[in-house]
Amino acid sequence: MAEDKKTIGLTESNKKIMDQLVEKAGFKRDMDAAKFAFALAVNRGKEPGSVEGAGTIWNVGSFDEGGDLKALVQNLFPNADAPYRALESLMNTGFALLADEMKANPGLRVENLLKNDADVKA
Amino acid sequence: MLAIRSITLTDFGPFKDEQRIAFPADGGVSIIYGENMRGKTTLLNAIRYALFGRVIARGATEMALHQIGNWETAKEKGKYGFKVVLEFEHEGSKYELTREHRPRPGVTKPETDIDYLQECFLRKDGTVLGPDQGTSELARIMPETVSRFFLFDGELLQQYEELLRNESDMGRNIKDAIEKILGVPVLTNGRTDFSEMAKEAQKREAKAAQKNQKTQALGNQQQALITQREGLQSELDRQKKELDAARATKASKEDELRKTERTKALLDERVRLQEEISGAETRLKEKDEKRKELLTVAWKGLLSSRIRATREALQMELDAMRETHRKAVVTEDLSEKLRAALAAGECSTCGQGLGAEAKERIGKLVAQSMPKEERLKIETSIQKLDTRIAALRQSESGSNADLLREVQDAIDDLKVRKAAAEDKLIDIREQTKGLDEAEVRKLYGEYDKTVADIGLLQNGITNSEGALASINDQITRVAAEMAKFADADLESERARKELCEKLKDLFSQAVDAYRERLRGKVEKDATSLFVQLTSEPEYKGLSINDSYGLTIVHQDGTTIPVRSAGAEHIVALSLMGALQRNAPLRGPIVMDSPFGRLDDAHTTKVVQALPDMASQVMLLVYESELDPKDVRNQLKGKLKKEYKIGRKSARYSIIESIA
Repeated sequence: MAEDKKTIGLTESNKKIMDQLVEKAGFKRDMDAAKFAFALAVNRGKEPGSVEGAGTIWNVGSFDEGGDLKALVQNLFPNADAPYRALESLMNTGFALLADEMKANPGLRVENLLKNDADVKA
Repeated sequence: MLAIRSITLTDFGPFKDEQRIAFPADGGVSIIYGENMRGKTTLLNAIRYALFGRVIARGATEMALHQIGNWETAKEKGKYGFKVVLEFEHEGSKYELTREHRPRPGVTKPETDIDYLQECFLRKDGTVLGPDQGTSELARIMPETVSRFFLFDGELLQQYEELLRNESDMGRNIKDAIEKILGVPVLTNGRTDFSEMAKEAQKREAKAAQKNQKTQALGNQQQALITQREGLQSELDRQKKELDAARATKASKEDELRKTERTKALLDERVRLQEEISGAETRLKEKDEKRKELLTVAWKGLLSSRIRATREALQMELDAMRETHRKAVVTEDLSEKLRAALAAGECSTCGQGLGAEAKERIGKLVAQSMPKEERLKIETSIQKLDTRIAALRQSESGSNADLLREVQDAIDDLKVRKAAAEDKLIDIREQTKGLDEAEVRKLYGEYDKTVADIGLLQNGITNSEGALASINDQITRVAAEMAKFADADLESERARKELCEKLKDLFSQAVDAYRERLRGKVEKDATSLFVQLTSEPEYKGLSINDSYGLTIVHQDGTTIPVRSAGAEHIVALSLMGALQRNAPLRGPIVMDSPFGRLDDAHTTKVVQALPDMASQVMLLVYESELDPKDVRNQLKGKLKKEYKIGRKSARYSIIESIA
């Protein structure tokens, strides 16, 4: 198994998107928005890949205190041998998707996105 | 008849610099259009200012004159003060009335009314009248007490409903004004004069009696009674004067209280809004926290279907693996027994020996059983799957989109309600700025005291009148005793006294008869106008009471006890028109926003009736109140002049002639 990451983060552009989302949607912490972005990417069938230029924002220990996310990534993507690297990749992908959503709909609401995406997959 | 020919305003309200409105010489209807805040009421006030030196704000309160000057002129040129010149005709003479407020010498920036000097002069047929002459001439042409029937604000027409309440001070004031415009005081003054003359004659009679030895004692007694009566009369007059003053105070306090009631309602509303905002803020915080909590796990909701699908797939895999494992365990148990049989060469259950064929078959079965290593591998896989499924369950949760939406909707609703409450609060704060609550309490105290004073004065008057009646009885008895004695002087004075008393009685009867006739005429004319103005065919007219209050009469003969604001307006206009027709004093009607409470049908009828209400009518209206095209069609040649008050800036309006 490849060595996994101890810290994860976002690219500069995705960090800006996260900041916007936190402010607009009212997430309590930025990591809640990041997990949401990760979930969106997963829900839309995106696969983990590599991220270029991601800065360091969170320590994986604080980001995923109980290790649930790691387990989830491992479950959803059994072939990913570095779950946090996969998580980082997917959350960056998720923010890019959210950027498109916000561009298409400046008054975007999380609950609508949640409802629509959940409905699509249900 | 008074007819206004022009009005020239200089820096009066929004009318910056000098601006003039000319009215046609042949009367008719003139209309001045102006949107809200352009200065329609200011124009009405300019006429009032020129005639009486006063300006009335909304709510019938007197306005500080310091606030009248044009703000732009003051700001740009540092010039304060204002002027109105009113040109009018009356009984064949031409008048030019000029009234001006200018800062006192030495005052560069006036701050209150005291900082101004008022100048007023009246020119009659080109000659300037002396100050006293000018004042008395103006009071004769247009007494201020009757001005309410010439210059009126449509919004205040509901005051006339007070005439239906006999005990209302406002109603009493209006009744007095109505009688004044109708000329009743000419007769009541005559009655008072003859009453005074009769009293004088009585004194002379007493003096004549004192001169005769036979009647001297009676004369002395009569003189003493008359002196006593004079004292009582003087006290009664004082009490009545005080009662009038107290009633005026009460009316004014009632007016203030009405405003205070509104203020109190505003204060209560302010508190309620503050509580509503504070409550909304608390609930917003709660909802926001709830929303944040929901957003923290929103990602799980988003993945719920994906996690569930994965978990279910893993569960199926696990189930299959468990089945394989179960079978392997069973097979392994059997294999153990077969291995033992092979080793022993006999069946472990029945003890029968195994033949070669049986041994071969058993050997094959044993070879087919799952190797132990493989079974252990399955067990490990089962454990891993269990862990994975447990982990998935950990991340799995139902979608909270609906809950989140519910919370967000609640937040949106709270925000809207809070914003609405904040807007209202800003308005109310503005309206209650500088409010002195102690002053409000003081006002209530003063009102209660005035009401108590009125009660005491009324009792005092009743007692004084009783004492006066008793003295008058005694005076009459003594006079009858004196009449028994023959004396030329005494008889002559008695004849004078009796003549005065008869004349006083005649005037008293005349007052009653004139009042009765006037009421009949006013009722008839008001009815005629009302029928013309109302759009309700079942209303056949108006019925008048002793105070000139008018009640609507239905065609079935019953009266309409409660009427709408619109109906009240029509009744008040009918009264105005009837008073104009019956008053010896006539003049123009200047109406500010008279159609605000009326629907289109009533507005049309009122417009058509305007030329019949007075020979000169000036309307101050906004266009949505009265459509210029409609009014031209309705009035045709009777519409003589139209002006429009245009906007130059918020503090600068300009009067433009339309046609």
